[in-house]
Amino acid sequence: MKTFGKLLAISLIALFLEGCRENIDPILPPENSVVTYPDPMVGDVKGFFLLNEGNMGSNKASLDYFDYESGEYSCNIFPQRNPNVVKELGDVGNDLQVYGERLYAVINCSNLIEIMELSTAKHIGTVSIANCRYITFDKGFAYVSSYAGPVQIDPNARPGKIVKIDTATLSIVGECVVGYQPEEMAVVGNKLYVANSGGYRVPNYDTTVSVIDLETFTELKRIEVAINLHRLELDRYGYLWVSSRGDYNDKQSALYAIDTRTDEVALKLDLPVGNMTRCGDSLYVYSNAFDKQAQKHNISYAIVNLASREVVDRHFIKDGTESQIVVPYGVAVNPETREILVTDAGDYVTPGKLHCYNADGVRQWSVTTGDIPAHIAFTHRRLKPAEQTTPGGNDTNPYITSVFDYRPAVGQFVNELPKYEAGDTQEKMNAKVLAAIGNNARSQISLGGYGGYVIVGFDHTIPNVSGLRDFRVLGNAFCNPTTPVGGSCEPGIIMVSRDDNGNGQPDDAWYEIAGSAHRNVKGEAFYDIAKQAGLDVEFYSDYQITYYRPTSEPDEPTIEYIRWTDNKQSEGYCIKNSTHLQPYFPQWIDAETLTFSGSRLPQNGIDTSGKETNFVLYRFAYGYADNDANTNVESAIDIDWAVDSEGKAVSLNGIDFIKIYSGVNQQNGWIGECSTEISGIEDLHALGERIATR
Amino acid sequence: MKRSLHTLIFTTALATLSLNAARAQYVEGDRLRDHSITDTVHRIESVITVGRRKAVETVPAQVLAGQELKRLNVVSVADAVRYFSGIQIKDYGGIGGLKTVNIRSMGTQHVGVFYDGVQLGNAQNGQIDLGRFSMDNMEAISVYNGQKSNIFQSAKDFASAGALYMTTRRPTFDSTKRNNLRLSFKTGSFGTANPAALWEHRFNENLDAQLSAEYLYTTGRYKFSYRKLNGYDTTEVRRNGDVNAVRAEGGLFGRIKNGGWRAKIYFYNSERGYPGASVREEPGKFRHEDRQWDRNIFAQGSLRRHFGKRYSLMVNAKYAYDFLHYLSDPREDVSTMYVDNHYHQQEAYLSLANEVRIKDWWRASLSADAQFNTLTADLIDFAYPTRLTMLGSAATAIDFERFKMQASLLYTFIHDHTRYAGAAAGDRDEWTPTVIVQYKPLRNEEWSLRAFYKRIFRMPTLNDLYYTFIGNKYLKPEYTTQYNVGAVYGRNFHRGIVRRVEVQADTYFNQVEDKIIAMPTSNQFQWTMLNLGYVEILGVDASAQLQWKFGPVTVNTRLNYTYQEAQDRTDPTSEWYGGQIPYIPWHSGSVIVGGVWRDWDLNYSFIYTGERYESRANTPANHAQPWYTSDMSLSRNIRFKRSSLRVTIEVNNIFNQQYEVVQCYPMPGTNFKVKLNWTL
Repeated sequence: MKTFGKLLAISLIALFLEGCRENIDPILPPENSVVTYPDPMVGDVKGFFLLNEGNMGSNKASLDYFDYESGEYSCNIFPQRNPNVVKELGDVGNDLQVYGERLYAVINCSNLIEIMELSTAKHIGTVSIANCRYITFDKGFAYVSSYAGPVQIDPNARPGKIVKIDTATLSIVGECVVGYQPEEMAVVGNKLYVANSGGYRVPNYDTTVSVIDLETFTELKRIEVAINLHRLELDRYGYLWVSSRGDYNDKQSALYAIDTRTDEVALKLDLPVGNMTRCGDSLYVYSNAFDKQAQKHNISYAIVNLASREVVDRHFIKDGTESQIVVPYGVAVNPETREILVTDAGDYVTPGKLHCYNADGVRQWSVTTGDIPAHIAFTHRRLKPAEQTTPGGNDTNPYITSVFDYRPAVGQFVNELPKYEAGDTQEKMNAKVLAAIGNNARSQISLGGYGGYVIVGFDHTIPNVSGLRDFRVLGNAFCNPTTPVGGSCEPGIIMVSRDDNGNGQPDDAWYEIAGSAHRNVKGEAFYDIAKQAGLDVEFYSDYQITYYRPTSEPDEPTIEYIRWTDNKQSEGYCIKNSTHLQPYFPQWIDAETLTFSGSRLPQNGIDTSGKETNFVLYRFAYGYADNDANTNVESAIDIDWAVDSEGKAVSLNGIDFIKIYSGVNQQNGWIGECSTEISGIEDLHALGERIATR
Repeated sequence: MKRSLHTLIFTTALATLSLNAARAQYVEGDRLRDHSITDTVHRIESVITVGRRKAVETVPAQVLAGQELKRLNVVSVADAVRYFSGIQIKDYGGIGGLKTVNIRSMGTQHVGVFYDGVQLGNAQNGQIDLGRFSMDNMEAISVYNGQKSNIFQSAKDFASAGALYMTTRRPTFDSTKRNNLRLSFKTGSFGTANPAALWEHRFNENLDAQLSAEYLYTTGRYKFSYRKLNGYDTTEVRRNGDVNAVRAEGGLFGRIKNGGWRAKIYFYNSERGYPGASVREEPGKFRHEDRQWDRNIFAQGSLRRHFGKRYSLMVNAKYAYDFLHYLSDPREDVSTMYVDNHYHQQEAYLSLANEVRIKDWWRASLSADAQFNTLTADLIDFAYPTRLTMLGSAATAIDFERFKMQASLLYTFIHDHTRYAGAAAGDRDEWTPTVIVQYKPLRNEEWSLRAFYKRIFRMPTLNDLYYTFIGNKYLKPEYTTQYNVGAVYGRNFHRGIVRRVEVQADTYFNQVEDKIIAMPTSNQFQWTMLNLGYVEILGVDASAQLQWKFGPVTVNTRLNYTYQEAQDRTDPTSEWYGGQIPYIPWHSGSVIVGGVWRDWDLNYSFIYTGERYESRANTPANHAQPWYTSDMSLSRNIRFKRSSLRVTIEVNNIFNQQYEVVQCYPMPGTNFKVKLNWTL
């Protein structure tokens, strides 16, 4: 018995230890991906926030951010920036608005408004309002519609209310009872219009718009419109556009216009409305009716001209890609660029999608969002990077801390990323590079065409840990799940060096990271199609190129702009394109020619359209910078891949310096030369990230 | 030991006389069901697992019965079923939280749940809350993959992809006694009080009666924590999880020449609160006050008789009435929408099963069932559906010593009617087959190989078809196809520490086609049901039972392990194609170790559920950590002159693990229970 008891005890203890879990969940970091070309010359609209509703009861409302300057989309930014906010953003995000320097998110089933600082998305405070729906602002006050008005004797006849919040103190300063289940609101002069839905009273929907006097904060009247009202948009002509959802059965959804001078319905358009947004004189409307018998959605994307008050377009998506949207759920239009954003909620229980179309309705990019992407708010403040604490609590900085040299080749982003200003010296440019990509700033620099490079250092030696990748180079590559995988991959070749002489300068032996093409160029997934397309698919380890300073600086697009020759009997020109008209030759360098040498990768850019409209820059298997999305594993490098000048593997216990140079010599039509962009380097060990090597 | 050995021999002798001798003995549960009507002496309860000898189920089957079941720290049937392999329980937490069972990831609605041999219906939503079935009166719980490997059964027994059988206690009397009385009381954490009483009376050799009643009250309150590494750390109390429930059952058990009958009335009445999803809110500001009232009443009867040596007849009949009232009142909770709905369901069911023994090794059966369901609700535009279901089954079984085979074919006809013309779904008729084979390679070894194929469907429930706004009358049935191969091995040892080893392992491949899923239409609040889903499940279920003897101490161990790859393969173009379906862990398992020493029982049980995802999008945001709980109980039997008292103390979730089975529904941490059981 005793021995058995011991045996039992030991085996049970073993069982517990064996099964011991990391009991505490980590705070999830955002998932970042570069989804489009960076726009260094972004205007006032720096980016936008997107609120994902999350399915009811799952506490999965989440906030995403898109940054025009970097072209980077960050999914779920709230928890990392607000680790101490209990249960994150909450349950069912229903509205998102920017007002002043703050971002307001209405979290419906959490019964609260989350107020954040616009430039950091950090929690400032909350205002708890039962069953809150939408928010709008006027003269320092926020107005929130809520289903939860005063309880009546008949629990079915409970009206809604508008809650007035002083945005300076975040305190509730007034309430005004309106119709049943109020939804969107609009401020017109000194009046607040409220669309009443009556959605809880099926089939006795509300049919009115409430008008509130903002001076006295009392309801003046109700305008009879149609059943189940939802959206409101005010145009420049004093008309307030109101959508009726219908009863999802016989009574169709429709669009009405109220003349706010007379407060009477002036117009009805038989246009079903799911959601709508105004930009200038255009009202972008999508509708989505579900046909049970056919088991499919009937969807349309229309534009109403607000001047002529008629439907002028039934298909604002022009390139046929609307069929890829399952359930349109949100729509927004960038007031500057007129880019159209449409979200797709899909099946509501998996992450949705956001699609961006240019003003002509041609899709530019798409990205996976949180669950039920719905509400978009443009911001005039660029979101600052999250403050990172160093895991492990030691003092090493996981990021670049010094820049020793920056010599880009010629290119369309040269003198722009970073910006050259008259009189800047090499030292000044190095400092600008450090400001852009050092210390996790995550802005970006361009290395220009083939050969251009940057040399950086760290405040510690990046250790070479066996079996794991050691550092990650951040770029702006992005990939689509095509076969072979491609997108915008502009690979840079990476070299590493150890401070053997201990002088802190990168004057020791350099070793090249031998990526996939170094080892077997024919093994690249795109090799065959690139060869078929007539590209130069050779890999050279002894390549040399010389660029010649242009004799004059044209201020218009020029084909024969900057001449180059190489040591393989080729020559050509770097083209000046229409979107970038600044000088492409690094302006702080006096020399008449620029010569670079090193390995050269095969060309990877293919014009898949055949008419120069769609260039796909294919991904190399591994081992290069700016070759895979930062969030993908192949952005991470193992120091064990380093080879010496004869191609033999070297064993380094750690490295102190990294050099990256553009690895491909190719002009890709209108998108320009293949140029590596860098936005930072991360020591994976200092960050506590464990990524297995290949 | 002596007594149980005696009973063993006795019941074994009985069993060989009985119709289903060959296959009925895997476990007590089956024996109970198959023989309880014909057995003249009811000692089954005392047949303990020690030293039994048995034939093997031809389909994968698992049973918890007798003392092994009693020793588990379980409140409800749902808690016990967690110890089976291939089973997932969806548990919304606490005593009152909904608990449903899912066999081999095919979905809750594919599980037939049978109470004393007759299926429990829920035409409205097709799921049975196993949390409502008390363990107080429960004698055996068994789970079958495919179907029970018995051809003399109602057509309904053939009609689901997997089946759970609950078998309640049947009166047994010591030779001189005519009355049994048992009083019990349980109390412990969550403010729980649970008194129960059982009275059994023998009128004469041919008629016994049983009455039992139980009351359960719990506040349902418990603390739970949510923590994030280098982030927030909050402890809250689960509220509005109270339950007030009464259960009463009465049964008559009769014997007739060449057969037997029984009749039962079941009554359950409860009121409970819904604690709701635990989501972000201003702490303590809003009180969830949703409430639900349930009343379930059913009466069922069963008669079985043999006519001559070749023909047997079984009749089952049932009437059930289920009432549900749900109230969400903004006068109690300002944030809520007013909902005050009442649902009434009725079911009438009649089944006839016939079996003919053509040869000693060859039997055939024909069964016909008819069922009628109605549903009414005070919803706007409600369809008031009624459903007539007719089932017919033809089955045959071939039994040789080393080879057994069964084949059955089920015909189902369904006709729905609604109050308003044109609202009803069209008639359906479907044919579905099953084939089961078993082969024993060696004559003298307890080793056999088995395989089955089964294709079956579930009808869309009345909610799927007719629920206002959401229902979709164009739905097709949801089909499952199962392929299973497995092996069973058993061996007794007459000396040494290990006395018996029993191992079974099955591997299976299931397909679920036209899966009925809820899909949104134009917004979050407008969903509809669609046949839009295809799931493939590849799995392995393995279990082992070991009996040990250390001098005077008998120890039983039971190990279960399940591996499942349950992948959504609906849309190859989807980013989430091939994702593991929600809440199905790749790895799960359980361990039960029970020791008996004189009047003492010590039981330890462990459940492990591996990592899984809360959505078929297997992303970090949907990732759920593994959880595992350890429970322990100690009990002692104290004998008095004329009665005995059993005292049990239980500790559950000893290591106070904070976990969720369903997202946002936290489970209780460490909790305690004391049970007193007085038998007169």
